[in-house]
Amino acid sequence: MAETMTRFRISFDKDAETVWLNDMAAQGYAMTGFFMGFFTFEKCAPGEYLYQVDISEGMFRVSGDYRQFMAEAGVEIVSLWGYWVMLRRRAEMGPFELYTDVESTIEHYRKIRKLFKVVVVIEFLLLMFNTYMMSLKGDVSGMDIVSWVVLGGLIAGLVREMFRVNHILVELYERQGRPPEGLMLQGRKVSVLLSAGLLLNFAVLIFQGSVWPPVRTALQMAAVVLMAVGLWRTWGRGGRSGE
Amino acid sequence: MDIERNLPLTEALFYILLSVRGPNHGYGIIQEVEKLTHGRLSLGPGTLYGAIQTMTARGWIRIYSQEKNSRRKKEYVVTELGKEIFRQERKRLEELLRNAELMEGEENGRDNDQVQDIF
Repeated sequence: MAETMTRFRISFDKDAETVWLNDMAAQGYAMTGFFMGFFTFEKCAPGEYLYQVDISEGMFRVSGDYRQFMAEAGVEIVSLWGYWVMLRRRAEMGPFELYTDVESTIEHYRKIRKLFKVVVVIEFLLLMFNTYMMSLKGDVSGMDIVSWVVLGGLIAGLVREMFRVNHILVELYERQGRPPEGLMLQGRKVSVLLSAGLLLNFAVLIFQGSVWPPVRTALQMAAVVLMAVGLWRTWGRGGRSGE
Repeated sequence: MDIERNLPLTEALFYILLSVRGPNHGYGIIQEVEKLTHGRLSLGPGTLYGAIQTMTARGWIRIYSQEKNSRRKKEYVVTELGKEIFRQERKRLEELLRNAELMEGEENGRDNDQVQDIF
């Protein structure tokens, strides 16, 4: 078997990622690097390492304090990517969990949710800009559709992940005996609005040529409003009550 | 600062404060907490790191030593404010324990009147 191996995988779910990395390590492949979705693995003794994924304090960097602290606890920083820190520790040192109480786990997931909020808003603006440029040009190339689908897919994936994180937070708050602040209900409402907006926008783009221009513009406006309201509902209000 | 607002302490904060009654470093705190709780409470590095950052910012603990060029580990020690918070928490816990005895009283077959006599 090869000494090193590369796997491609895109996931926003850091918990699924952690499970996967630990599965690979259990099979004798220790993750040693990450670059744009490509994971590099090196052979190791099966189960030699335990992996965890943390969220960092800044993009592509952690503080000297953090480094020193982790090193002292026997934890190796394997890779820094965006806001993600991939860590591992030798399994012989015992179970490896980063967050061991409800309070710090809540803090951890709130940081993740905050990060996703920012990214979703940026990508949403990009998508809007994209759509606007397409409507200005009047005709849509294959490339336009591809980039639109990729962006839309990213947003959909991120939103889905935000709901998962939100759900975890609601459960954690419940364990603490704190009211979950109606996060779940709000989430479900938004989900519908956002998806409806995205779908409508997509449909308009695809059938652009065969729709009478004023109707097209009206539909596009409606889609934009739907998506904007959806975003505002989740992160305008829900965000504040979560702080 | 309003001390009451920070109480009750989480178990992690309680034991971290206790572990830096004398200067102690990161991994030393994890070990000390494990020793004090006979292995029941094992702090994750993420939990401990976050707690140390928070408590340093709140002035409950402070950096005791940090020598840049040596291999010496960064050590933390409790401040007067940290001690005061700990004392308040202890008072609260003592009340809890005192009241918990009411339950034992019932188990031993005493009725409530007798328990009230005792206090």
